[in-house]
Amino acid sequence: MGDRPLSSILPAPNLPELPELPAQVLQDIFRHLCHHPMAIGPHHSFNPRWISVTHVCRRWRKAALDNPCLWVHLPIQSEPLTQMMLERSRSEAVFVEFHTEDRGVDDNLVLRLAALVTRARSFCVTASISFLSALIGQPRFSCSAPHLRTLELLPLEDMPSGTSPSQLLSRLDSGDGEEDTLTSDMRNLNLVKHPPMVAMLNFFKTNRGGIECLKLGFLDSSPFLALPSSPIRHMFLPYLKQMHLDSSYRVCHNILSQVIVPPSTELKLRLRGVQDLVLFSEIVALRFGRAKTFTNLPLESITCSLTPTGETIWSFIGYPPMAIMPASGGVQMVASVYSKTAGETWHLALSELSRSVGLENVNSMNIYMHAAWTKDQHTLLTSVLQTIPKLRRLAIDTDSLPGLDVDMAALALHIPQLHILEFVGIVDESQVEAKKHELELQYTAMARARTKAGMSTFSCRWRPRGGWEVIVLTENLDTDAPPLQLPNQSSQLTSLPDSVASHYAQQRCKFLLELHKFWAAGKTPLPTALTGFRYPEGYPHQPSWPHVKPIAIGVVRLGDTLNIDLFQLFTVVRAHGGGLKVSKIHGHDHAVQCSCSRH
Amino acid sequence: MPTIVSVDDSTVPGEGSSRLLLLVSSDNKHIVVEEDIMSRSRFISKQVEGFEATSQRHAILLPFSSFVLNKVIEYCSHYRGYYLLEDDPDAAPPGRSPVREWDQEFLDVDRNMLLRIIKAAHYLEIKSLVGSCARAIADMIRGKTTEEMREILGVENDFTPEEEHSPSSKCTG
Repeated sequence: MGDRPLSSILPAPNLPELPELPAQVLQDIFRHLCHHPMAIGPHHSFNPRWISVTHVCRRWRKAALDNPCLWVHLPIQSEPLTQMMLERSRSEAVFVEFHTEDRGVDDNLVLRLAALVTRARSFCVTASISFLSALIGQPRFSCSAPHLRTLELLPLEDMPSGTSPSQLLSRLDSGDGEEDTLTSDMRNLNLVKHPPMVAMLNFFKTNRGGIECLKLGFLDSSPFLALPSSPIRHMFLPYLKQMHLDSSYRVCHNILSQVIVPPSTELKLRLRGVQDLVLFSEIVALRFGRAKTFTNLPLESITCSLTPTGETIWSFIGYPPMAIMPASGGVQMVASVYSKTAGETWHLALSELSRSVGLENVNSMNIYMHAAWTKDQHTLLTSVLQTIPKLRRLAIDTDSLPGLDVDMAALALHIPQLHILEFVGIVDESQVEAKKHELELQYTAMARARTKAGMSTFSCRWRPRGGWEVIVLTENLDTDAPPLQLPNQSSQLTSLPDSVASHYAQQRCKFLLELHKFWAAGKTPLPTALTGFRYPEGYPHQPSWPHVKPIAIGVVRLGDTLNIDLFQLFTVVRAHGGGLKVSKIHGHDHAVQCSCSRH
Repeated sequence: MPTIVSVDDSTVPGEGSSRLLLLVSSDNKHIVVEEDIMSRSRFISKQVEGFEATSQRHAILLPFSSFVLNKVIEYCSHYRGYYLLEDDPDAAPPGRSPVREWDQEFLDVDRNMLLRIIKAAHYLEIKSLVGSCARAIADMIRGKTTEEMREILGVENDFTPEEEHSPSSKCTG
């Protein structure tokens, strides 16, 4: 076929009248209609207007009613409509999404919501604390919820410690199922504003490791800290994609000490009150398979923000493995510092970073200045920046506050490695030209001074606020500058002592996936608790392996004491010649051969 | 089921690296296409498996016009060698088809053609194309009244006046 599509060459024939669409196709169309076109995720997107398709004709109506999956998003505001959709969704798990700004508590509404937990796959409620407390207080809310995969209970206000929602998950878990607790198969958990203790501990005690998104935020960490040092068992979360923690340094430290997650997990930590960055980095590195590398992290980008908030917050935002983003300069780490002591703390923070993680590969830096700096602090800043050998771009946001003028000449002349100096700020449209003119004058003076001092070319930009946080690492910063140095990935990886552990974890995960697929294809799927993979739809919840006792992902218990890690067993068998040889020696039937040779 | 007619091996070379298929449209146009291009169609794949079982290659008669068939082939050619989640029989089907820019341009056709493409894609079991067409059709009728929907898609209102005004069908959907 040539470059030109055939359909553009051939003449359009006279087509007969419109074809009648099969029911399955109609259902596909309706599935798209159910959601708002711009919605990205499965939640927050239901569009109840689609129901009007059932009034078009009998075929359309039948097609819509025949597919219970189309009726699973419940419009809670309308009781008759909710009831109707519950009936039409038949036995399908439903999606409950409710948001109210109303501070009062409607008892009838609370009752209706609480009754839906047993059927919910996703249960997301945003309401006042009093509403949520009433909801959680409902006896019907504490029953088992076998389908629940996403739970979001977000209070409109910050939750004071000791309020009843802290017992949320313990109530939910106290349902009739002894093993199938509500959180055991949870995929997404978002309890961002809840106090920590019971909710978090219950989650860690009961979840079988299938969770993909974990967001926990705690305002009060004192109950957690009063616990023994290791309140949570070690937990392997092989499918985790996102982990957001917002809590005190100690709480985050404790959680990270207990979980084992894939290296590609997006990690967002908001640590309140960092005490020991080195210790923190070790903990993160330990859990993310980079025990030694974190201190040698090829840090290329760092955002330092200063605001007079009175607290120090470090934010490390996601650093996926280098293999994933080699084109954008490898591992990216963004750090933010807020402090009312501005320059001094900034200087200390940068020194600490320099000591613990190394700034030798940083070539681009953003600095927020939201508080006045003294001249001494300017000098401190310049002296620290001087020590970053590859720093080629520096962007400064002075927030356009009066008195925050930066000593540009000092920056330009005392940091010879700098190639680009950017200023970011908010300026009235009428003053943009004046600002540019002012900068041009300063730049001319600086460029002349640099040339006189024998320094390389230098550019200076001013841009209005916006898109600040986006750091493009591959941007060609300056044509005269050497290209951005990418981290040497191969040497980096081979130097990782934990790379073997990471590889082992990946192989183990792959093995369990294959095992899951193999037995699912044979119509006898293994329990989710064993493989960590979702139980296939269409099978009864109780699997066909009643005697298998998984005690962790990939580990079964034989008898009372013997724990067998299936992947270890597999590697041992394979190392000794595979299933074929084992069968030959011991005269087993060919089942061992099949399952082993397949993997 | 389509009618299958035996073809001479000289017409459709079935061996070698570039295996070809002969597709015959409802307007009796013969279209030769590489088997690899059409492998996205579960229907065609099953037919080919059948050929391999009987060691005979056939032409596949399809119940839609060459104009529609060429459009489908254009789609399959574009995504030749691409992995699309919706077409993976082993993968869990996504709830809604993802938006693909090329598909949007490709499906920028008149209503009649769009309906014919989705019907052909459904027949050929190309789920990704069905999904993209379904999205396009949904966009056409989204936010429209029932009367407008009927008009857009040429559907006749076959409700009796009683049914149309009954609470079960009207008030609660």
